[in-house]
Amino acid sequence: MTSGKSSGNLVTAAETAATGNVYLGETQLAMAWRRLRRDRVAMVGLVLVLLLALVAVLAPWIAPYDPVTDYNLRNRLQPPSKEHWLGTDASGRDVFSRIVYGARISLTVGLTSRVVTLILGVGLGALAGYFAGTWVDMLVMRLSEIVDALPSLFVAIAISVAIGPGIYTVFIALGFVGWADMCRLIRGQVLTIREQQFVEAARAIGCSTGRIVFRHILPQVTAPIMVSLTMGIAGAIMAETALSFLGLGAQPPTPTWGSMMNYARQYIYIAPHLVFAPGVAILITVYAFNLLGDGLRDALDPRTKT
Amino acid sequence: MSRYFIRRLLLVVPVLFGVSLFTFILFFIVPGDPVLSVVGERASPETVALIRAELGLDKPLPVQYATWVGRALKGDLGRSFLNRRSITESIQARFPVTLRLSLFSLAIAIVLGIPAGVWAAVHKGTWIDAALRNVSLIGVCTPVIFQGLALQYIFGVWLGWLPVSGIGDGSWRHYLLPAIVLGTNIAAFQARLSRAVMLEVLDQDYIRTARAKGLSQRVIVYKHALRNAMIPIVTALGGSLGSLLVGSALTETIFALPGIGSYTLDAVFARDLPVVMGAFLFQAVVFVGVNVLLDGLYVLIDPRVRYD
Repeated sequence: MTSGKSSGNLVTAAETAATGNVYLGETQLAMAWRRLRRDRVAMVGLVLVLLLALVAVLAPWIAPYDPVTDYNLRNRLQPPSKEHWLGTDASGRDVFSRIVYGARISLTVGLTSRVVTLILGVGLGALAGYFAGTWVDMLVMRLSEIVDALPSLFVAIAISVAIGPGIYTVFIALGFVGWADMCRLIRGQVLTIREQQFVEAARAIGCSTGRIVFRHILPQVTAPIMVSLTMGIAGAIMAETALSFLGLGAQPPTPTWGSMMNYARQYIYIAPHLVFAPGVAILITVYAFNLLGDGLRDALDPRTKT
Repeated sequence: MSRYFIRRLLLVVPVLFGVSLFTFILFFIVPGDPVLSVVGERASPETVALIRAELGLDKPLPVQYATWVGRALKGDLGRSFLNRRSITESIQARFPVTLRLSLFSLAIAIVLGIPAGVWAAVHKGTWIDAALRNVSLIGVCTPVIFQGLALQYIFGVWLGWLPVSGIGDGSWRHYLLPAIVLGTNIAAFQARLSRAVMLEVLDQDYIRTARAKGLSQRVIVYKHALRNAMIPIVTALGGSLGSLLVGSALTETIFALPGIGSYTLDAVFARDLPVVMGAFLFQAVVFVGVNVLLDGLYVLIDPRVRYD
């Protein structure tokens, strides 16, 4: 918002530039939210995501048993029943409870690794875009090409092996793998935006480079960042599953959906429900984030006018 | 044109250099001695020193790296720490498996994905569109691990129609399930992309002109629209081929196929450093190579594209 009442027009223009386009950003978001609310499919996705978040937060109250300590070897590999909705695993633990707790790991990894990606991708992308054509740009772009020249799962696996398995490793490995896409996206956007007049105006009144990038340019690219973030969470959850499946994620006895499938593999002949339960859980979660992401993309696209 | 490709190829060199350096560094910051993880903790110091000298690990790191790159340029990727087999030969033996699986998967993806996307776009807003969109979204959201295990259970265990895993005599039956897993995943992605691209093309003026001329829907969709929609579709297919050829580690592992993906994965877990470095380098070369070839392909399918 501008506060130009007490001062002249020149100051108003300068202050508008100095405060960035905060006001404009808010109206854009409000418009997007209005469009999103009308999109029934996206709202299904949003409700599902919120439900999953609720399950993760309230896990101790939702799960009927403890996912780790409530084991009973006499009651192992049972099919679904009234006592155990999704049956029991090879140690006689309640699968439903483990699925509920597994949501915590999946959602945390999805969110945290994307934050790492966001910081790396947006930071480096904005840097490369603003200094396009210089050695900084060159260095960042070559780095992103190197990351992209290898299959991302291998890089994540290699990093996990190098620094040892565990939940923090997953954050770092998946965050490191995803930044190149985000970086290119931001760079492209910054390239177009930095040629616009308001950036020139900001430079003319003496804003520092950092201020121009963070206060003036980055707010303009919120839309693609939000879409990429939502879609990226889905991708990160899938990747976490793969790492846990390979034994590189959170270590047992912590319940994760990927490691549950890994242990279920050997019992596939006698207890297929052990594979299907975590599989369907992942499917629903990834599906929900994709529905929401699709809706966000439509809602934030300035070309769709309502 | 040829000048463009020479420049493009020259740009590949620093990328490959970076990849090799990245893997080299990554595995030297690994805690623990690579030799000890191979010979075991109980080996005598003399044995360890002997092996270290034999493998060239006693030399300074830059020397080791230079030696390795020098040999790699001549096509010699060295030998495995674990079983002393030639890495180049192992890759030669395993790549055909990955190649067959990739082409099989890609065929499934093309046959299912593109028609589904085109069909959905033509019937936009109808139940056909809604159904196809949902199916393809579910396909995109299904983790390969889950799909692989589920197919193993349904067709291998329950119905008993196909082998659960392994390569057996190498017949197509052993490739079918893994190819379905990879193929349907790519098909789902292709369907979503094809639909979006077709919708954009069908909205353009020249399509309206074609309609106004009274051309049949068939000619409009397949002759006028699809041809223009092919560029992004082929780009994405090429990208998929690139990632398929470097091996689908998870699928190959679940179905116990001896391809490049499972080779790399096993080596990473065994900390078989030379194999990991060799396999990574090979994969990067294939991946980048496919992308360079694709750039050439655009010129063939889109006469508007010019590289100067």
